Amino acid sequence: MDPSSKTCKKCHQKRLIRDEITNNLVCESCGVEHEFDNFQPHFNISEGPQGTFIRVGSSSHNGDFNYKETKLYYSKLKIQEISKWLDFTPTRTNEVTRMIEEITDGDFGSGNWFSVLVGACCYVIMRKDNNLSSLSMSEVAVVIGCELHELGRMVVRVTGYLELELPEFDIVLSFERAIMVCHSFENVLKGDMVGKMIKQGRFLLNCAVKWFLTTGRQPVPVVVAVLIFVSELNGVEVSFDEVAKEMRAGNVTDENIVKNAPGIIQYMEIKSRLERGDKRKFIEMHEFHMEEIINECLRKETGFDFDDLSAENDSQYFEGETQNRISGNASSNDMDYAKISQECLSNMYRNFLSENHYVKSVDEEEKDYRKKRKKEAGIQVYKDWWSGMSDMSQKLFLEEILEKDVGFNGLPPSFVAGELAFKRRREKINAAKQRIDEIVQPPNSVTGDKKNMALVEGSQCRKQRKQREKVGYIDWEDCIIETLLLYHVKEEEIEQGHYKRMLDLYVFDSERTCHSFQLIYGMSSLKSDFGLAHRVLEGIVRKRLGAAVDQRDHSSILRFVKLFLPLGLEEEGLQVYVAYLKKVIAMRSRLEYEHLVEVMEQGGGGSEVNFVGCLMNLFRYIVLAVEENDEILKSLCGEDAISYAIIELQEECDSRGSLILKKYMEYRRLSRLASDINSYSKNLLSVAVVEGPDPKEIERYLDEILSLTQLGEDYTEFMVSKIKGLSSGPRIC
Amino acid sequence: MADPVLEGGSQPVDLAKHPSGIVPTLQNIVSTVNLDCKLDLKSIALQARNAEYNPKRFAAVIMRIRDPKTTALIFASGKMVCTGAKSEQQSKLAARKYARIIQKLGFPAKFKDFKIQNIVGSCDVKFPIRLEGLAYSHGAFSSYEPELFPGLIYRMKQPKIVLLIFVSGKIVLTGAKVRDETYTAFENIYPVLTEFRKTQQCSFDEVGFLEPLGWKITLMSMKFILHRWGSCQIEDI
Repeated sequence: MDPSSKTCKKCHQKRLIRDEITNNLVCESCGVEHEFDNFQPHFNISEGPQGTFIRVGSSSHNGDFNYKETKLYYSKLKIQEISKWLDFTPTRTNEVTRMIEEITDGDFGSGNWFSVLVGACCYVIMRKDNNLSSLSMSEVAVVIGCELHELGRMVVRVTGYLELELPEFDIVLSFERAIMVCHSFENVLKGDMVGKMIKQGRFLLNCAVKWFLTTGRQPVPVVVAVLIFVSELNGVEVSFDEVAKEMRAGNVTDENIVKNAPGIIQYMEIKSRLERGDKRKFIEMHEFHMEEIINECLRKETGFDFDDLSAENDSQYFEGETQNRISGNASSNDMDYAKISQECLSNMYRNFLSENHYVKSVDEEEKDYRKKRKKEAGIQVYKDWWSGMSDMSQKLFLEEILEKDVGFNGLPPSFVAGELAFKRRREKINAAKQRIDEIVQPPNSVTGDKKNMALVEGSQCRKQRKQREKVGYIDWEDCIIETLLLYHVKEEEIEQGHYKRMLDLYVFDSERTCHSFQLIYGMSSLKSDFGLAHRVLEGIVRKRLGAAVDQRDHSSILRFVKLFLPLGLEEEGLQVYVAYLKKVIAMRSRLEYEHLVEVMEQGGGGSEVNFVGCLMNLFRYIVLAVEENDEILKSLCGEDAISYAIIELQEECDSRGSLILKKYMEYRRLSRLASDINSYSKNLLSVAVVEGPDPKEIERYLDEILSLTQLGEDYTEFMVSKIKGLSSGPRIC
Repeated sequence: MADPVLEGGSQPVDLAKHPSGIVPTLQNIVSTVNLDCKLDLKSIALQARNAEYNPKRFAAVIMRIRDPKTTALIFASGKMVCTGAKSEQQSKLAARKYARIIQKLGFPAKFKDFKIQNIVGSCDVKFPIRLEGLAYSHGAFSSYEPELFPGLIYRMKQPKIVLLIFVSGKIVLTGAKVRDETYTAFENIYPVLTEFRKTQQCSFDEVGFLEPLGWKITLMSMKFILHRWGSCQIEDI
């Protein structure tokens, strides 16, 4: 629209012009800026791609690149770049481009995902070729700067889309590549050494495959492990960190490799090369090596140190070094292996000698040889241990590897762990069954007998109980297994250890459980099941109460005593509880009594020896025990419970009270005083002046006796009123 | 005492149905149901206990109940997904309970088109399995990439079930709509697995006595080196 045709909204003059910089409409006379009216539709939309119009600069005469061209340009650049990083030949790069073209329908792409796609295609091509230049997935991931699993997902999608079938990851090839490529080996490796190391590595990897070490595990760490192992073996010093870093194997730790391998590898190799028929011959030829190795292992003070590290000899390594160095993070499995002690080794060897007559055929020549060898130190000792002739040093197919007998068959660690877990659970199930049996059929059937439940004092008994508890310690797993067994869960199912699932399925699903009970066992048996559960519960409550009483844990005692009511064991509960109260009272009053006696013996003054207080406390304890436990006693057996408790506690009161009074009489020498008084009255008329007992003293004693009897009276009155207050009245009076 | 609980716990496996003698155990059931009414998720989240709703994160109310212990995703459209049940009946019962909860919150919820969508089972064949061998001979069905995942993924065509097979002998079966599909899939795969079972040869020959010792040392050292890597810990389920 022509700006001059419009009028200014302020001064109404037709002097509007377009500002050169902002392109807005401005009035030339008054300077007012007008609202935006400068919308310019893009008419060329049908020519280019739909979407946002992006200016990419003006590098050419003809104007801007359009989006698609730019995208294609940059994506191809990306492909070039990544293939260059991966050392791809131009033909291979073209292959990658073709692949991506097919996948994206010629659209290619941009952004992070595109580099992942390029990386995935490159990886697929390398895997297809499977040669020495093939990188591992983690290496490719590092090159393109994405996460391993991101790349992995893309690889799976690419192979799925193109319907490709990738050959398996070749771990041996990966090893060979590693040894050739790793910069750590650049300086040290000479021609024949490389060949030897590759052969050894292949051999070990084949063994690792045979022992399931590589199955279900990331292959690159295995490769690095073998690489380090082999290089240590050949005296090539490489750093664990460096190799691992070069191989992109993830987190690494400091260098620490076991170096006992030469002899074993040799033995392994000979063994696997061995034809069955040749066995005898072989043993004669090579047995001394075995013996030599064992001897070396057994010698403590030896110059044998082809270990570059501090380990003085190998057997010591297995005893101490491993434990020290690995201690933090070694798995239990490793530790088991590491604990091969020197004695164990020597015993094994002795057995080996006695059982194997071939060893004795070591001839003179060999003895000389051994002497000579002992003088030598270092790696030269084993210079001839590796012949590299075994088939296992070649690249083999899986079947071939499996056919070879290398003398030992390893099982996958996860499988072994699974088996162990099974065994452990089996034992736990058996123990749980035994525990349940014990409760259902206790050796001394626990009835309501007071004597059985009585709280046996004495430290010995307590000690025994503690020991028993220690032995029979049960954890959460045992508890779950017990519960599941009580819920009729199959033992085979429990063995599998899916506790959560079983609890959800059988225990916490009330409807189903009830239903299945009724269905399978019928109502009658349902009752008996409840009976069983009931008995089990009774046993548990009794046991817990006993323990709580032992520990005088009042709150737990209350808790468990209350449980006796729903279990229908009110009387037993009452007996146990009253016995507990009696025990507490007896203990407290005994303490006071002992204190009293102590003061007496120290010859304290009359005021300090407070018999009235002692007796009063005894009464107070009993009254408090009855009053405070009124509720719980009533809940157990109603008012009968109270009278029962009073009668029982009265027994305690009688015995303790009479003890105190006796002591009182003894202390005040009341009997002598009485006889003195009697004799004094008789001699009243006699002439001689005989000093009788001090009347003031007698008065004090009388006061004391009065208050004691008053106390007794009050107490009796209270108890009688308490018993009378009970509606049913006491059973015994 | 004849104790029905402790002795009669195990019933024999029906060998006609399970020739392998192993019955996969069901671990999770996923079902869907249409409550056939529009729901106000916010009001559900406000009223119901055990419900969480964070529209920024996920556009459904997540509700849990204890018996049967399950979790449900309830969408505004009235569609509901119930997960976590250990049996088909439990799943249905749980779905009904959720529907009842929604009804109590004042929505006219129905119980339409209940369907079991996925059953996950697992079992243990109790022998180690050569995953490489299995991947090689059943390449069309299996994908074994130890760099990515320690297990072998086996996509069975008939019945259409995905199996995760681990070197330890543990198997996970998923994708079944009915329990029998899981069972059939396992019975199909079992003979295949036995092919790749590791035969445990015990060759204690003349010098065999020392072998375990020597091997254990090498094995230990290799395991030890592997162990130093944090990255190679993923070994199995």
